[in-house]
Amino acid sequence: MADEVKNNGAKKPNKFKRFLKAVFVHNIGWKLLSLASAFIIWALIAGLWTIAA
Amino acid sequence: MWFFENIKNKIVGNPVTFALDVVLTALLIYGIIAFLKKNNAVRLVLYILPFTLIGVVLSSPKLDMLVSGKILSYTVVFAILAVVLLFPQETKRGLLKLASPKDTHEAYATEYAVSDDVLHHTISEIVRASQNMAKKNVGALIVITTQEVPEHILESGTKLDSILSCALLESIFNTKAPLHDGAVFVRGNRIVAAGCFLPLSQSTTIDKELGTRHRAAIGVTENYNVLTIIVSEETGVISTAQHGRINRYYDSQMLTEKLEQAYGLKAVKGGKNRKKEG
Repeated sequence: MADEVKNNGAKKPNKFKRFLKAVFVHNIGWKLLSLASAFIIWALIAGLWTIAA
Repeated sequence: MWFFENIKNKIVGNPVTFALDVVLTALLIYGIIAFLKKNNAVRLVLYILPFTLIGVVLSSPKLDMLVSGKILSYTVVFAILAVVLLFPQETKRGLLKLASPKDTHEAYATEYAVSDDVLHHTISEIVRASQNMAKKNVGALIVITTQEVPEHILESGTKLDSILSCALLESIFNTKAPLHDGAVFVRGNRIVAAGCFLPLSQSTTIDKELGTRHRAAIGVTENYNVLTIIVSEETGVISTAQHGRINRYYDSQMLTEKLEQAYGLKAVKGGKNRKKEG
């Protein structure tokens, strides 16, 4: 409850800092998992789906 | 080995396309994870990701597995259908969000049939009524809308189309009045309808001490681009809800500012500072 009161008047950090934090800090585990999965899927497709000439 | 040679050739042949392809795929996967996380279904990732990897391998032309390869290549269609069937509310909300314009732009472009002075007067009446009801611990739920109100919600209540005043709002929410148990819809300086039933929010993150009135107030903001004002019957606390989020403990000055932003009379912090038309 006290937090909610504080939030109403709290000063927000600047936009660029918030952007950097949103990209590189929030949910970083899930972001890395997405990147790793994307790479594995890409590698599987590139390796298995390419028909040699 | 041919597998690694193929990968190497692809990366060396066109590194930019490789990077772009991986990043775009990662963004797509992260989008799906974020959606599932938001809907408390993140465990599905444990099934979807391995299934996708197996699908990619089995449906590859190298292995030439005709049946399982074909089935897995249609999995995407089944997955989309499954999302629509498993999350009907979320799909509807997503489509409504796409269909409704951004709030700041819309607030500034909204034309009311009355002058800014009348709107300022309306705001002061809403604030005064909220304060009076808060002092007497009278529960209230006021929905401020800039767009057309969905007809099925209006039909659940009583259409009024009357000029808003402090006394009228207090009369509607008088606990002995028949219309007190529902929401009042306000557009411009007019009360469009009263006693309307709103969709309840199904969010599990809402504070347990908040009752059905607060849940309804949040629910309507999840589905529509509106601002709601809630006066708690138990505590007399004034709160507002917008975009599915609730902010509590409003005093008259904070509420006036919030309403001025909703009406497009004051710039929203970080929003476009455009003069209201009309």
